[in-house]
Amino acid sequence: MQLKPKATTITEVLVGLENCTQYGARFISRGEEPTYYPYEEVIKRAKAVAGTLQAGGLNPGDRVAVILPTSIHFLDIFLGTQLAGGIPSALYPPVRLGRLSEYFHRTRRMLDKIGTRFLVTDSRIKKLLGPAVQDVDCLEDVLNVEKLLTDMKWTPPKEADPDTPAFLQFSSGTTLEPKAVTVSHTNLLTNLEMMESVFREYSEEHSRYGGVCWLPLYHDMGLVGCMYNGIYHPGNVTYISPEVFIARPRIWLRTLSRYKAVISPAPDFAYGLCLKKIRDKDLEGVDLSNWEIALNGAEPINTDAMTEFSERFARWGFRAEAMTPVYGLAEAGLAVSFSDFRSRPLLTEFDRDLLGNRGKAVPGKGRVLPAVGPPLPGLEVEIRDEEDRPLPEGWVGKIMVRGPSITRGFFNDPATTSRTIRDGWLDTGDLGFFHKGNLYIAGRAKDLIIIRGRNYAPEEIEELVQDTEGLRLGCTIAVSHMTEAEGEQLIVLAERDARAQRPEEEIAAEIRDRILSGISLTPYHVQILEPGTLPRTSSGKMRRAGALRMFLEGELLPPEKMGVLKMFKEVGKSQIAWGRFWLNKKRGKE
Amino acid sequence: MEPSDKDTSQRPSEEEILIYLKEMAEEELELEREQIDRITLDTQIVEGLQLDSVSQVVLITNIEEKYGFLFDFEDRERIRTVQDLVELILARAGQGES
Repeated sequence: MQLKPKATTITEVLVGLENCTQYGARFISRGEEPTYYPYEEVIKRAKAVAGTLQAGGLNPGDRVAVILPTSIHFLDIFLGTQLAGGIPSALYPPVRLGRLSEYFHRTRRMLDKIGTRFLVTDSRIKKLLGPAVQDVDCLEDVLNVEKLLTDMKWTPPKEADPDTPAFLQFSSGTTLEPKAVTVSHTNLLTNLEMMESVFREYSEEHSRYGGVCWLPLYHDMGLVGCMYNGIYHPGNVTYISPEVFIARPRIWLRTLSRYKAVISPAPDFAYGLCLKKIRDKDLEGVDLSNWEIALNGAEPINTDAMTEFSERFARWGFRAEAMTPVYGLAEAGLAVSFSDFRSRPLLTEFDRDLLGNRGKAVPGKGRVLPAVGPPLPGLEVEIRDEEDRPLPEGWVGKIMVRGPSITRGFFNDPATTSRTIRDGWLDTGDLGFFHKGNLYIAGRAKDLIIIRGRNYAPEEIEELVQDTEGLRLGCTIAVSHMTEAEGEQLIVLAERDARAQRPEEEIAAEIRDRILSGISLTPYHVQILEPGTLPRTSSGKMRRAGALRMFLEGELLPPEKMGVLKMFKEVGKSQIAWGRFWLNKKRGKE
Repeated sequence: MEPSDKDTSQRPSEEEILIYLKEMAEEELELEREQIDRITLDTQIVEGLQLDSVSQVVLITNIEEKYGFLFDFEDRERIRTVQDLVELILARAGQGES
């Protein structure tokens, strides 16, 4: 199928909206008050920022980092930088209590990674950013967003080469070394056009109702899936800040109802959060019947929560057909596959043993997975084995994607680029298979831990806890596990030091504290094991996936030892029993 | 009373704030009863209550709504214990955005 985006650069799309008064961006405050900016005004503001940046010496290709909350200012700067020919990149603002040092550390590395020339933020965040910017040599200035809306005249830069970067997208979360995906104009526009092929049949009325976005705009699903989709289609987008959604999920559903929005995406955890936090009385007068596409992606899908969401909110008009499992990643522009949004999610139960141990997807008992649909037009998806040989339908392997929206690589990172993109094929790092023409996601090839849409490298969590007193150095692993009640959760398996006298509960408590203060995550379960229990590769490296499977199946037994074998077995059994007890208790509580 | 109810008509007392925080800990942060009973002014908020990033956002947003002011990012860094939080609320309640 021929993909013909309506423009060759995003700048062209933006300029095309300069007289658009029909649609725009609406921002909802925490008191649910709206402020609306028609695209005509959005573009006028972005031009003002572009003019100011140009007057300040911004050259085409210069990188501009943006640290701003969801607001019109985010659009001002992001789009203004693009109009000036610069390359914007959104970094996440500080959100947590205490422990800013690692935020500074990471922000510094991100700014450095992409050779940031200017950083734009607001006065509240700026006061705090000092330590994050002080040693960044490439950084010329930290600019205050409020001062960039001047009446400087914008000069359209020379038309950009469509293969140059439109923006840089940092992968979400805190994986060890920050990685910035280079998204070119062609990548962005072809991906938007692919999604457009799904939305095309929508009427003008649909575009007016538009979409609702509470996703952070520094995340690809918010930036491309909401902001750029709204600009490209074009249609109205109503924005809620992620903090407001987290604290008051009902505002999401009420906003959808209030504006009769037809589309809104969210990762799995958000649907679960609505189930947990929204009370019936919060939804008085709410009508969700206009919500035609509830995209569900960005993290592994808990099919129970998804189904429960559809059932419970049916009372307020939510249609089960609207729930639409999807698959995508920043390296692909965003979207890779969409399931059919006109029908209910297709759930298939596969034989757990064959799937997990043999890599074969055969309908049977054990693991229910949602189909994420066929690849979008213009994209090819292949499943490959470890030696990069294509596998037929029904076999689990690495998901590889090729097409015009696939990034050429990571900015200033040839090593990651050559590891990830081979002969034009993107290695997504995810495992999956085809069944009756639909793609299913089986897990991740890398051991990446994704919780609430954020990525964590297991190494990073392991490093946080490795020198806990009482642990055997280098013998701790962090893995994630899909729980029935609470979605993807972190499990830590750690071998204790044979000589240590410290009580296990104390060791486990310290592990929890360290992880919590380090990355603001509460482990679902911490298991202290006997020395030598964790499975290792021939070279002595820990096998994470193997360890998790053994743990869940109660097979994590200490190594056999002469004489004390029996005792060790007993200890192992009691630990496993305890672990299971704990997991069950946690599940039963829901 | 629903934790989100606005009540900025009068200056809250330290005791009222503590009661509100405990209420919120139970209803919004879903902490265990024993954990809540152990909360004192010296309790470390993040480590002591095991608040992950989502719970921290919920805590901040609720306090902002209840007491009618916005946390500065600097405030967030300063707050370690319940005492810090109570003092901040006492100083800023009803002030709106700083």
